[in-house]
Amino acid sequence: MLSRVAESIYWIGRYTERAENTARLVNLNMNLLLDMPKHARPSWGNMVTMTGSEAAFKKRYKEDDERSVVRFLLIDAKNPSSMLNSLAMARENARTVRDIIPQSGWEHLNGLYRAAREGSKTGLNRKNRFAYLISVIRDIEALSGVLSSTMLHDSGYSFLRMGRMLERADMTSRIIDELSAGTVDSDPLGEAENSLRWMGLLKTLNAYHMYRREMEVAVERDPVLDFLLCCPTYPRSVMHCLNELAAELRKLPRFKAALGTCSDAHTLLNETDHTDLNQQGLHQHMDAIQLALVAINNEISRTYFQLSDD
Amino acid sequence: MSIRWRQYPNKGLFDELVASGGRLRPAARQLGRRLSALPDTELAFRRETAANAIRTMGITFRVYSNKEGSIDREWPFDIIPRVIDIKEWRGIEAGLKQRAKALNHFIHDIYHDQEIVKDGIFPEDVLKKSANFRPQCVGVKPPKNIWAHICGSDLVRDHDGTMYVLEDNLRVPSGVSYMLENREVMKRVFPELLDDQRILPVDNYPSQLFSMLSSLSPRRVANPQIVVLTPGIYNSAYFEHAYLAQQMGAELVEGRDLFVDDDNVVYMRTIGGPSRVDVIYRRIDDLFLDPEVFNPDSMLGVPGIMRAWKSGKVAVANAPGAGVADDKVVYAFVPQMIEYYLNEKPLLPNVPTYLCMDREQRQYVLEHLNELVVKPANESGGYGMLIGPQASAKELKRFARLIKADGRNYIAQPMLTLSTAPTLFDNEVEPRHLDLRPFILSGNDISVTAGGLTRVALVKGSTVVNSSQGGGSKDTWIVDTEAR
Repeated sequence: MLSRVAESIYWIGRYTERAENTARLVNLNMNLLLDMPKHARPSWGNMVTMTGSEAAFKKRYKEDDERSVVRFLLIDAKNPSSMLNSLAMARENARTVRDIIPQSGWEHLNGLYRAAREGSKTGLNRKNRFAYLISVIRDIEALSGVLSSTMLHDSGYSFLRMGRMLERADMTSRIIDELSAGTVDSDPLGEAENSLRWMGLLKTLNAYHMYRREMEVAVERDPVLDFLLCCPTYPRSVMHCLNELAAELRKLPRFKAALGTCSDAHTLLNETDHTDLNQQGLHQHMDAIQLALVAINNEISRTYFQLSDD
Repeated sequence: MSIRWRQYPNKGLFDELVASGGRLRPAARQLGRRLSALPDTELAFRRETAANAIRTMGITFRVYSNKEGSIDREWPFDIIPRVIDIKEWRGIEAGLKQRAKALNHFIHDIYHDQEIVKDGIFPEDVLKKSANFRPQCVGVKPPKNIWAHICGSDLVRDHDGTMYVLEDNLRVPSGVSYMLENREVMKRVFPELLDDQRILPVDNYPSQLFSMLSSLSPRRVANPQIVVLTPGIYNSAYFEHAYLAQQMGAELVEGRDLFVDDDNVVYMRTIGGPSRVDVIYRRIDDLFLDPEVFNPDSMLGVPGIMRAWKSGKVAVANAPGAGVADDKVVYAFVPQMIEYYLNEKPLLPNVPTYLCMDREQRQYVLEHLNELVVKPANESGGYGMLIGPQASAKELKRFARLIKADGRNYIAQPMLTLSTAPTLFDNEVEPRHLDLRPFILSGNDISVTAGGLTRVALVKGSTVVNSSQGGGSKDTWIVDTEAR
């Protein structure tokens, strides 16, 4: 497989996952807001931070109110990682590898982008937004289904999955980082509020039901962190994403160095006892995880994508 | 309301489907009757179906505008096919094969002994001033002595019904993917029509192309590595490059995906490391192909590809330099080439052509400028032309100056009244001018697509069929009227 093609497919994985995550984030944040005591609500501004695009946002908007944030995250052409831009980038990447992606996959992605763009004209206001975003999310989920059942499960597919897993792990760590920031360390008075926050965090990741099934304990800081970081069976946990990534890497040639960076991230997860961490420590831990993910991305890029003559 | 052929306004035109008095030609009879049986609502529905199919299939082409830059447009398509009777088609097919054969003889001769020049058939002057003659290719022996493996020849029919060859595209002819996709769209739009009668299939082209390219491989291996070399996604024909690579199961590569080592072997950069390439189907012009030899600033090409090709380590299709025959002055000599190399009479006529390099012919052209079409020798896509009868006095003057200054660079042809075919506008059919581009593959044997790409000028009265300038297209049906 051509290096350039592998890279494009990898980015199709990353961009579609990013678009899906952004849609989920906006959709669930509204529900979350309504459940939480006013003074403890995560703000719309938090969501901009979660997607790591504060700088771009501040340049374009004065206030981080709902209207501005929703517009920025979903459709703003000047926000490189807005949902619509992510889909456009996924489509552009797919266009360059149309010889690799099955026709049905291309048609699906093409249709999905067009529908998302068309729907955004009416989909932003509160009344329509839920239905609009659900349809985008379903379309993206259907795309993974189409690709999984029609694409060759060869190295191209491995790159698609690796892109998706890395993006997902990154988003999970960012959401934990941002939403846990408001919780209070060992303050008995804040407990009920904290519980609401941790529940909100689970819901944002669509993890609440699965948490209940898997953990069978109350919603509290330590088991929630355990679940979202280390549960091997929950498909959005950082651990699960790393395991999948490693499994895909092993199918590729010359995987040693990249697998090494994967193991480093693994070790970091396994060897950090987050029950010991205070709020500041948790924040540092999430930072370390994100850096470990960056290291994996860089190694994959160095090994497989860089166009050197050697 | 529905289509009424009796009221079809084709007076004074040669229409491909409808003869005078609204009579349907034999090959179009079944189609015409079926169409006129459809109510307006049904016609509108079929048109919508076609538009949807084109959108979901993502059939696009790129246009450039100063305002918007490079933009992707949906492929303009008319749902009424152009039909050709198989009996006529067999003659055209034979004529095209004859032409391709003679052209390949010519190119090989030009890069070797130039016997056609020595024998006084082809003027040396033309060669000296040829924009597409590549001295770097002299003496090279490509596999089977074939240079133009893929040729796209444009055919037009005049008002008296004669089918002429208008030009031969030997550099990087494009359009074949649209021929294939047009048929796919038609299958979605009019499945019953295609089921009705025997229409020659077109979908074996990718496998024929693949076998032809495989046969060029310098390595005798079971699965030679074939790549399609594209300038990238901003090229107007990128859709086609991707499409053909996908259909053939070949790698679609850009220049930066390839490199040539010191042993003149071409490799592509893959996730497993360098991997050897045997055959390059290049869709990049000669001058951008190899910065070591041609344009040193080319970012699209591959440094060293010419050394690899010359030393026989890789095959390149079309061969560099093949464009020497893709020159409108050289075109005028194709009938002589056929007689010279094949000792046969040409089966398909050229459009009568005046060479402005010849003193007498130039004089005639200058005196009849307002009746003629003047074309520069080496432009394609309909650019840089003068259409005499429609030109302003100022334009006529400008071309007279150009012709006097550089006769070698211009030819002139009488203004043909291109044939038409019924084209749908708001449920009404109107005649629109069209041409036809069949594709000819030359390898161990020569094959021709069943029909080709029909391009149609959508603007009333216009004869400019290029999609960059308001042209559209139609599916092309070779109808087997003998099958029952």
